[in-house]
Amino acid sequence: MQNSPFIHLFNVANKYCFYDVNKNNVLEISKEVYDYLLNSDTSNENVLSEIKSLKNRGYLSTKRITKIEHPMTPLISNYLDNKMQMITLQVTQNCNLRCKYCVYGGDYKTRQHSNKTMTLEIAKKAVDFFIAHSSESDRVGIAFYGGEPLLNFNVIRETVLYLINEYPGKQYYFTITTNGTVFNDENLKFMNEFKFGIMISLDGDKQTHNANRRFKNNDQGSFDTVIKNIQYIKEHYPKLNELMAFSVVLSLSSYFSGCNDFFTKLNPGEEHNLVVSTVSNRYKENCEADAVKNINEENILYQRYEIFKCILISIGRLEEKHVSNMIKRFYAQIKESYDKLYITQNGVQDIEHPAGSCIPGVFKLFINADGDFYPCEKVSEESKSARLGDLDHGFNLQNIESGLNVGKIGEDLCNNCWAYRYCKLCLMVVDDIDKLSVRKKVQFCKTIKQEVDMMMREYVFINQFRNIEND
Amino acid sequence: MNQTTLLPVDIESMPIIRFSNNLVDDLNITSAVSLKGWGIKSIDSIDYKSTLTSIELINSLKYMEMKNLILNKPSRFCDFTQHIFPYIKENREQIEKIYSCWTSVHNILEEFSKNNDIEYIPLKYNMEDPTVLSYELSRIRTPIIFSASLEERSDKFSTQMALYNYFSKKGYNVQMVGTKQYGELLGVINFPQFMFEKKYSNTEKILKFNQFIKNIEINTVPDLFIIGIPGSVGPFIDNISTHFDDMAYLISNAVAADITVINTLCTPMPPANEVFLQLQYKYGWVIDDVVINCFLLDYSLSKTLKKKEYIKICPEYIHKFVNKANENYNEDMFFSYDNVNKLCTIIESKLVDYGTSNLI
Repeated sequence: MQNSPFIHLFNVANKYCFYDVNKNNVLEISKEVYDYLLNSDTSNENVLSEIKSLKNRGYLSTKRITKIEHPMTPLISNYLDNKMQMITLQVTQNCNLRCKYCVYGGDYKTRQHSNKTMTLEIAKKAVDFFIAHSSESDRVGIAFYGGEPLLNFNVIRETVLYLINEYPGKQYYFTITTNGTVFNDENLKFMNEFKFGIMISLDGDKQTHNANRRFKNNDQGSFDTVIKNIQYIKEHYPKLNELMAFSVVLSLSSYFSGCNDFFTKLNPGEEHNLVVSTVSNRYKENCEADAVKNINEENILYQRYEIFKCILISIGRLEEKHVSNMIKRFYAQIKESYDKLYITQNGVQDIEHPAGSCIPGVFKLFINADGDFYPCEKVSEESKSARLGDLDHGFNLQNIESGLNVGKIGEDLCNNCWAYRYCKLCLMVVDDIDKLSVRKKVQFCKTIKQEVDMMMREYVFINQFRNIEND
Repeated sequence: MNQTTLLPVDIESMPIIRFSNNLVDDLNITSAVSLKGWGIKSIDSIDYKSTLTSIELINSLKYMEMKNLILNKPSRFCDFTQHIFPYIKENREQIEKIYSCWTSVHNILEEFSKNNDIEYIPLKYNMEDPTVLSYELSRIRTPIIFSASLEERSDKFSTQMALYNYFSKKGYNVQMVGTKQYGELLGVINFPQFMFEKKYSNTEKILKFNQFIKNIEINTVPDLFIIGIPGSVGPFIDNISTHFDDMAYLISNAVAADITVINTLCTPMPPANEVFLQLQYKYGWVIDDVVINCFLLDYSLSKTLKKKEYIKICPEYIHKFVNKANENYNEDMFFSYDNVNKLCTIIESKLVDYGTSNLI
């Protein structure tokens, strides 16, 4: 395998192509050349001549990665010392809802709901730590997370005021992720003043939302309260309204088409971003089996149809207004992915690392109510390998280095991987509480390769009709 | 000695502290102020260069005593009206003199100084504007050192000042045309304003710059010129501009350098000989030495945030980086600021050698 060209072959309808890993470029080739590259067997002079020509242009190189190591590894401590960008504060582990799919509900290998709250002392200590480690960042952010963070609004308010008054000389932005049920004029006025970005969890129409998102004290659905609050914000806090977004979780009981209709009505001008995700299987026992169980075929068909419409938009055959609000991000992602496809002169280096992982703690650091560090809010607070330190002792460099170099887990999987430049492998993907897991990586590799392969096929298809780069 | 405060201190104004012995008007920097949100831990931590100074770092403007002020526009986020001016106003009775190269607030400070009986000294680029009488370049007989940079934030001014001090202390008559507006405070000649004027053609700028240098040569009869070249010479990298312009090209046409020192970031670059060849083709420079600064440009983050983003790099990493660069190039031509004295010695030997072997 080491002597064969480092390429990925694929075909779309009647087009035959290969992606050259060293050049980072997709080329269309004849069926004969495609067959030759697949089987290495031909006596056809034209094919051999075409292969020679491609090699002369620098394609079909056999150069592969010899060692997996993230290029940022020697720079980790420099980044951690002065380039932190954002912290997420878990101001409380308490929540007034008991959502059926909630990762803190007891079905996952992570902490469970509790009444623990972050003290103002810990929050201030977190702010001090953040400023001391972000001397080269001019614009930094604090995200407030829970539980339901507004249950500890006092700490949120005091933390923001402490930061603003104590540390002039930076641009600050604030965000909050909330279930949308505990707004009042006091917290809304404050968030309005400090231009909070608000992410409200809202799963769709009343039936869909209430199926999962229910109050803890009476087991009633929270839909009516959330909608009433959204309307109130729209009427009384127009600036806050502009910074409002919705987090939509699709579960087995959700119907994509119904949710889509609902958000089209709620959000007709599309002024609010929708962040759509499915119920997480990560950190769940038997997560593979669960992933299969969670498939709702009707939802998948509907989503694929909407994605197909995105492709039609890309080639100029459909207007943007016809695509679902919930899938719109896919359209932006198409172009984003294609921006990464450019011819590189450097080729594959001896030492590389699959794309995807960032230096844990630098671009985002999750600090829980006790002051312990994790890469982000999606990582289990039970995890030993993902614990990045704490406010008393600072960063745990060893865990951060292994978190950055997750490609080293099952290194052979990456050395020969044609999709490594487009990988999304990160610490969270391979975290298995006590250790980083090769099994989880193998599973992820399969999915990511399928995704990248699909991205390239779409690229070739769309390019037949429209030059994407010049669009 | 005139007790002076530097307001605010960041990477852009650090040379004022590092070369405070050069300060004119008997100015004595006793304190330097940074905004607390910048997270600066100590003066030395701003650029990881040791300063051996007793200057106090003040992280809050609330408790400072002001007498003489040197104001410099920082490269960091800082709102003059919100963060700086209130404290100047509050201390108006203590302040005697304000030196400022914060161009955008000149009018505010001028009026404030006038109303409060404070001496206001705006620091500007050199306003001398030589008249060009013919389309002929004068020959400069004095050796010239260019200090240019591949990237922004390369701190080429510090290299210029280090060279200036080294040769001055050795007794040479050195004339330096520096790239900072506060250069005149450190006793050097400020870069001429006409080079930034849009009303002149490139040809006029070349002729004027040549005449500007010639005039200095005639008036001061120097042993050596050190010329800092503003801006950087690096090309666009993807969609990140290095804000290069044709200044390097214009200056290189106006006068020829005997020694060229390139300043750059601690960022992996293409093989050095390729870079040197490009610079030779573009500007006619034969690169003698490279000084590596303590910052790294994070391309990926810069692309994401649509703004150049830098990481401060510790001295240990820079030493390794410099050693590796020298190993790869098979010659000791890469330096960090810590061994800039060695660089000066090498340049001096070269110039002496040129002077001995050249008849004209």
